[in-house]
Amino acid sequence: MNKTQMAPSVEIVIENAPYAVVGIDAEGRVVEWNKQAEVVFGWPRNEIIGKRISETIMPARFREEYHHRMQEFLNKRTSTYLNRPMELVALHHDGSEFPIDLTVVSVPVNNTFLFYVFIRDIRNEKQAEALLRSSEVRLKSILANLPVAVTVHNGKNFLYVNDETVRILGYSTAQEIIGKEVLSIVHPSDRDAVIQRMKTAQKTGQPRPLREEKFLRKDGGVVIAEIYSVCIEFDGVPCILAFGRDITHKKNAEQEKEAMMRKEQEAYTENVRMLAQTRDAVDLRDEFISVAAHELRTPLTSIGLQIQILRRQLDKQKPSQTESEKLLNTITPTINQFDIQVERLTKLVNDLMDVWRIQAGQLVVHREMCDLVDLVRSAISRYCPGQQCRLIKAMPDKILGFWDSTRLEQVIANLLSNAEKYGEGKPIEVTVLGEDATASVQIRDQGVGIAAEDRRRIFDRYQRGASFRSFGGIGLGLYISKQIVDAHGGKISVKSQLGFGSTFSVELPIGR
Amino acid sequence: MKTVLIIEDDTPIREALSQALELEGYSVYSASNGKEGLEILRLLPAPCLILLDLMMPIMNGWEFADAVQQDNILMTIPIVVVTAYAETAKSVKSKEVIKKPVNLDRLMDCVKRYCG
Repeated sequence: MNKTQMAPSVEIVIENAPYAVVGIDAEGRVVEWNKQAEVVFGWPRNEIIGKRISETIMPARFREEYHHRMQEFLNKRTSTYLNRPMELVALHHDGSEFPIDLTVVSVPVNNTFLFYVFIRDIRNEKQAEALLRSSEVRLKSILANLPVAVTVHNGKNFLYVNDETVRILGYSTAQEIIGKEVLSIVHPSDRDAVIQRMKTAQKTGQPRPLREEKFLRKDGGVVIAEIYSVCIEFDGVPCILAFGRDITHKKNAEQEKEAMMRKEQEAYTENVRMLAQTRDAVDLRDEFISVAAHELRTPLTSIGLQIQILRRQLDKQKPSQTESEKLLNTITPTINQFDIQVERLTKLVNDLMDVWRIQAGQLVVHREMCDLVDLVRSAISRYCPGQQCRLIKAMPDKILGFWDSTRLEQVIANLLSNAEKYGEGKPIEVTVLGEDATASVQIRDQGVGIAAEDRRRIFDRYQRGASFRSFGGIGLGLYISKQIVDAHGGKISVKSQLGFGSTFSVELPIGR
Repeated sequence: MKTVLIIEDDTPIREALSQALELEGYSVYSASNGKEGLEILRLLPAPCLILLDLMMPIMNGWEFADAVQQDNILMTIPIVVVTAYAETAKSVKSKEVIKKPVNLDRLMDCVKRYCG
């Protein structure tokens, strides 16, 4: 059978081909132009036949190279530009340019050539390509800027890692990681767990639940990340797509916070312990002081008693016998001195005990109904011998109040003793008044007086309002007196003038 | 004969008090703690006054006072507490409290008041 009869005619094939077929001669003139060429280029056949393609469908800028190539072929009878698809830009009849895909085939005819160019308008493809590329660019940009590590691996090696992954793991490029074994960047302590979970995920196809895992950086450092992964198909292969969030800082902060809280707890416990220790020490001190004071009182009591017994015996002696009289005269002053010194020691011990009690907050006031006038009178007779102190006024002559009589007696005694000490022997006047809800006692001496700047200090501990060399003493009396008066809700004060004497006033609320 | 019972654990003080009272013409029983004091009260005729120290071993002053309160006869004997701890003495049922170191004049006044 004739070959040409079997196949459809070449013309029919060319004419109906789904792409443009353009035939040109060695001079570049169009000799063939199929239906599709008309559509693609917008040139009707009868108009373009015989015209040069370089002057019709080729943008001007390509002409030179085209001629160059053509010459090259005609000289060499071969060219690298034949028989392979090329992407070029063509010119439409309406003047617009569009992208084409073309293949050139040469056909020897007689002793020249014809060229058949198979052309496709790839405008749409190009557009799709551009869209895809721009979408790819967008996606790439998202992946690059995502503060989340995105990786794809096939269960063994990494296939893809984004910029964040690279950054988190301390590498410089993705290439350093791609191809590496996944387990090589997992911290040894988590490797088994990771293997297990990958197996389960691949079996069930379910995404792995959110999980914290430890990974190794390039420099050997450790990062802790929250990992979420799903199974996907990547290039047709079942793979795992994993998202990771670096929580190392958060974890470190948590650990630091825990450590700090532990430290605070320890400091607090330590403080509590130290406080308890301090309290114990204070209790011990107070107990010691009170025991010491008691211990001091025992020998003092003993000595005191002995001296007083001696005294009483001496007092009973009849001074008529000259020998005894001489003996009495010798012994009596000595005994008197003993007596005085024991009294001083006793007072000192008592005052110290009171000061420590005040310190320990143990100064307690035991109130009872008592008569202030009576109290003052007996204090005067007991602590101010002779005629030096006089109760010059008591108005009314019985003032009942709810006070600690022992302690008030202590205050009055202290004031009287001070008045005597600094009174320069001059008369001391005592006044007791009761008005409405307040009772007051005033003790006035006409002695050295107290300087203005000292008047405030004298009620403080260890303060004295007179020169140490002249008057001695350690100044606890007024401090204790003030504490006692304060404990009663009262007030103690002084008015004085240097050289003229002082008046001490004690005011006490009467009621309960 | 007027008798005073002294209950005091410190020997020098106990002996000095005894001596002082005897010199004044009183007769003296003495005990070094509350238990001894109770024994004396059981065996001998009642004194006109008990001088009671508080801080003592075996049976202290508070315990002695409580025990005395249990007995209808003993509870009628006046007690004067002689102690350094004047504040704590308030819980004891006593006629008076004399603070240590003791002022002998005051003590003698007190004894005279209850014993004559």
